[in-house]
Amino acid sequence: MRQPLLELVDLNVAFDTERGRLRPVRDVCFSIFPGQTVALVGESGCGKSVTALSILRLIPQPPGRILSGKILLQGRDLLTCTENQMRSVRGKEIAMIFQEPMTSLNPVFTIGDQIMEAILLHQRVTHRQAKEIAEQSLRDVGIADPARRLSEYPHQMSGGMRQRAMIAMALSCSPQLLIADEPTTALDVTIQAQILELLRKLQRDTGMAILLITHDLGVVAENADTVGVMYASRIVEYATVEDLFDHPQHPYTEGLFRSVPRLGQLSERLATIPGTVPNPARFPSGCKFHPRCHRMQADRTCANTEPLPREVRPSHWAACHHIDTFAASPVTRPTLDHRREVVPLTDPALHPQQRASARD
Amino acid sequence: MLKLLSIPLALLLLLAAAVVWSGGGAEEPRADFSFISRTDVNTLDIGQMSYLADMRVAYAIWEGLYAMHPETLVPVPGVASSHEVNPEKTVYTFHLRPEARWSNGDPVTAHDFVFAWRRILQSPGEYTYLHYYISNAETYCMRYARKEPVDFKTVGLEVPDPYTLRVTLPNPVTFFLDLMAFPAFYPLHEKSMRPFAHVGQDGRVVYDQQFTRPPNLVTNGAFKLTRWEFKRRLRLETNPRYWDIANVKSRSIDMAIVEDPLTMLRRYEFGKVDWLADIPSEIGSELMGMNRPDMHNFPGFATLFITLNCKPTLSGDRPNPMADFRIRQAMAIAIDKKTITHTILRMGEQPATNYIPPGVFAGYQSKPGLAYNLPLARRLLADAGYPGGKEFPRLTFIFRADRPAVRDWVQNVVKQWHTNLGIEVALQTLEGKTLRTRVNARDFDMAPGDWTGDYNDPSTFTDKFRSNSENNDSAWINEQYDRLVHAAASESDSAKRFRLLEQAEQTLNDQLPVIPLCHLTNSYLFRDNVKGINLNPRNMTIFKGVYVQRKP
Amino acid sequence: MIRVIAFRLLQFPLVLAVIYLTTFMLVWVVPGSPFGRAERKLDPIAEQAMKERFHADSWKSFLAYYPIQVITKGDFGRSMQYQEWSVTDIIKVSLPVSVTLGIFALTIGTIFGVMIGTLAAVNRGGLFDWLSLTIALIGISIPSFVVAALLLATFTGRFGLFPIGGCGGFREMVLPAVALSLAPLAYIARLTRISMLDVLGSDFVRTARAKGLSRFTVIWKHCLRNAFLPVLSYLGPAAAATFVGSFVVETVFSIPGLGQHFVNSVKNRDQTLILGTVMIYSVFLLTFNLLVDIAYSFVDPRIDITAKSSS
Repeated sequence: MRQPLLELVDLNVAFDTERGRLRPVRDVCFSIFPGQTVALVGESGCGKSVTALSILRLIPQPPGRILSGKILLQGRDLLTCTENQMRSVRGKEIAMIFQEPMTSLNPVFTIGDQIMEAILLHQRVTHRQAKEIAEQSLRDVGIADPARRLSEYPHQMSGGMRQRAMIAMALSCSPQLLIADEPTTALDVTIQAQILELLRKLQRDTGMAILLITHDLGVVAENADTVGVMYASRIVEYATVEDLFDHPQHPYTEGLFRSVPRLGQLSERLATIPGTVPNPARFPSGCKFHPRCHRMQADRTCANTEPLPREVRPSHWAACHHIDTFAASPVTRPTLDHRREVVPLTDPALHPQQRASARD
Repeated sequence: MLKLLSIPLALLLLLAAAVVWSGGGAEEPRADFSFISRTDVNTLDIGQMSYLADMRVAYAIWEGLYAMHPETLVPVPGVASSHEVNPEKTVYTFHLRPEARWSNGDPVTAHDFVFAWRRILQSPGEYTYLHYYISNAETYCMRYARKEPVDFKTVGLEVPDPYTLRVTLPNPVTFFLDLMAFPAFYPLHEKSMRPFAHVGQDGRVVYDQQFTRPPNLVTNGAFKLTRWEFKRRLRLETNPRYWDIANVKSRSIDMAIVEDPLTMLRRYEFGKVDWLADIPSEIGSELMGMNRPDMHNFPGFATLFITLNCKPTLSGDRPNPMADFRIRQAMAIAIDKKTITHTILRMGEQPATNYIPPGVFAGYQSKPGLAYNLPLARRLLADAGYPGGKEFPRLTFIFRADRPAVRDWVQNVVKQWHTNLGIEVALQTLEGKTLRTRVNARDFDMAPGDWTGDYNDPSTFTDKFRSNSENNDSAWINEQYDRLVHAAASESDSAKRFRLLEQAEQTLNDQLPVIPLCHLTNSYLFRDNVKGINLNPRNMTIFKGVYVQRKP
Repeated sequence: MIRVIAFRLLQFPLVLAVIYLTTFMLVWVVPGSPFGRAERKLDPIAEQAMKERFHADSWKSFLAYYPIQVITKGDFGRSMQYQEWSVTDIIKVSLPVSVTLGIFALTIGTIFGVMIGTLAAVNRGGLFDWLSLTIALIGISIPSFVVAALLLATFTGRFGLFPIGGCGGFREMVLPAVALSLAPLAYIARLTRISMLDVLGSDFVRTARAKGLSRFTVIWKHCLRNAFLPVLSYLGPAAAATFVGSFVVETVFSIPGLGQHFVNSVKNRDQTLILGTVMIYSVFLLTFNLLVDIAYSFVDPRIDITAKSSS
């Protein structure tokens, strides 16, 4: 088995606030292999962004604290690195793009300045060479007339173009991993599709891995190789994308799929998961999902004991007390080296909606 | 966090380094004698001068027909080596010494005096009125101002030859020689002023005052003005052409202008200057309290008083109680002036009951006026119709807002009136020039006042209260006073004259159009090694005799 | 851009004319004569002659003579108090002093103010933050004459550290500049702190860090430029006010600058000098406001002063 590019082992992050200690990330484990796209999906506030920021140690340390765990980048634990060492990881080995391209770019510097800043920081090149590299990266992300764009300011570009520029900036130093935190949430649907396609193309060209944070199942279906579902600061299910969509194991995942409305289906009411996402300051005891779970039974296991992720199907982990287990598997760390072939969107036969309906 | 402090710390270090490296500014050679004046010179045009600071410089760089002796301040021959006067004391003939020179070498002639005096009559200034003692000078001045045709030859000045000047007076003036030493009577060097002459719209020649700025200025005194940096300093250096240069003690004099009391005191104490000429009251009373040997406090040439409006009615048609002299007397003798001088002013002033400062005029004897006497005050008030102060009209005391000492004593006086006489006086603060305008228009009830003498004769004080004087702020009309002063003006015998003026003053002290509070003092700060500074009430320093004894 | 600047510059004469006329009216309404001393009345003939010499015997003759001179020759006439000196002379001699002092003071105030404010924002709630707020409070509350007097009393004279006031070299400038800089410094520190706190929470700060930039670079390069705008707005009028001189600091340190003339000319009713100083101040104010507006568009490219409509 090849080595994972990035491996999170039992990561625990806490925030000390006036309201007490919050734990947005608990015992999170997953791995990303070179060239893979791993999606972290969940509702707002489940801890996926914090996880992503923790990888680059961008969590502000006074309120935030990494309690325990390891973040292994090609075997090297990032949590034990010095700030100087981290700075040579950020932007160079691991890059990150964010949700709001307008506010995520500095409005008073030109695009060119900002991209070249990253290049000059990590590569030993002259100013002119940096400019050429910047121009090329703009071209790579599909921006026309890149030379002119270099001297433009963020407010002079459209939303989609800004996100492309951000991607260009992130990729200018050829990172091995790109963390994309809800990269398309703030964009309209058609641009979304373009950006995601661009990411896939760049991934093909450069062989980089992508950690995709999103709340959109559609995006997950089209782009991810493996998926981690997060709920209330934990990973509750982790599988290949096909297996997740075909055989969701965790009640939360089931609930998510059920609540996606289907074309052509008449119903009086949208299906929802009863209840609401718990307040991080007051998580329920035991399984965090149990107050909303239909699988809960009279016995108190769900309310008392937190379920740990177990391999319940081949290469499929879920954290629930009430699942048919797979050959009584031990609790193993989820590492999935799975790469599926990217299929063009236009093939309706493989549309996730229809796959799900086929299951029924 | 600390790393972020690196930039500000670096800048601080840079600033410190710059300070250390720059050193002080290049200092020019220190003058033989340096002093601080609180105000800058306003003008060096002798025709326009009126401030003390201006005159101090004028005494140094010019010389009149007569000059002040550096020690005794008695008029001694200056440009004029001698004079004759006729028995009636109305015609003075001055003989100019041939060796008197301007700073550019030209001889000083009688024409220079005539030119200057004519100019002061044509472009009048504060002290033009002193020239009115000369025959027809006043007429000439007024007609010239009204643009009427008038011939200067009518004025009582003659120049029989370049080194003789004859002046004719309508009345004897016993202090005429003293006047000749006053800046208003100094000569001017016409040739050097010519480039600054231009003809005005009315066809008259006017001189641009820039002629007084170095290097244009040509003077004939012991010093010449070599540098004038506006509001910073003046530099005087000995005039090598001065006829009495042998007796000039210092080679250079530096006058710095510093307004702030703290700064000037510091400069003095750190030895940067030798003399503080004008000590502000903010630090003065404190310095007095310290009994320092270098603090020299001595009687001055001025009196502080309360001006009372004596008109029959006050503004707004209110009846004026102070028109009755008994009320004025009551108000005067109900004030314990010692509290004011000893607890508020504290600059060594003595309480005063009379108007003219005692002892400043040799041969003149002021008699004391009415003393502090509460029972008598109350009786006078009752006699005048306001027993116990009942129904006394409410009057207002206006005074300047920006002088803390004034505010303090005014409040004290008003309180004393209230306690001792039971009368209510309101207080109102006004800005300086606004107050002056009100007083000029006689639109006030009472106000602080002071008067400093200009020349060495009691008439410089008594003239103020002539009923037709512009400066009679009280609008006080007293026939007896006018008669006495008028008689004194035409009296040629000095002793008789003084007796007349003494009687006039007594009337004043009795009738009290102003309530004298105290006689003001002067204060200087200078150390033992400074010689030649005169502690004369007239606050005049003749720099010719001033020098600093430096250790060899 | 050029067109906008030109348009603004064309407005100057109109604004200045209005200011001139308003000041002129006020000057003539206020009681008190420019001539004569405070404790005695000036001889009417002398006073009349002096007024005529200055074309100031009535407001009509003043208005008939001076504005033309100002417009055609830039000549404000002679000062009525300092009669040897023309107003232009006085300004020429004192303005450079005040401007130098002002530049020095404002530079100190801005640089240190921005730094203190930035560090306070970064260190929010910490010791430095508390320290900076205290400094700001002191700077704004203590009157300038107290600061000036304290500095003079403490640092001058002994050890030959600083000269006792006066003007001339770099050393003479330091203490008065420090005294003058405290109020703007305090204000700028507060402004920067608030603005910086706002900026520090921005998304692009996160992006910059994610690129691998150090905290140092992120704060001093990325954040500062964004946080600087409110300070820039304040700098315009602050510069005008500081450059034309502070009466108090100049008096205490015996600096012959323009500040004293603002106050003294009114006290002395020196009409020509009043008009001269007011005009200079107005020119400064207008110019600095224009410069600040231009600077805006350089500091923040989102601001386009050529835009026709303002939202």
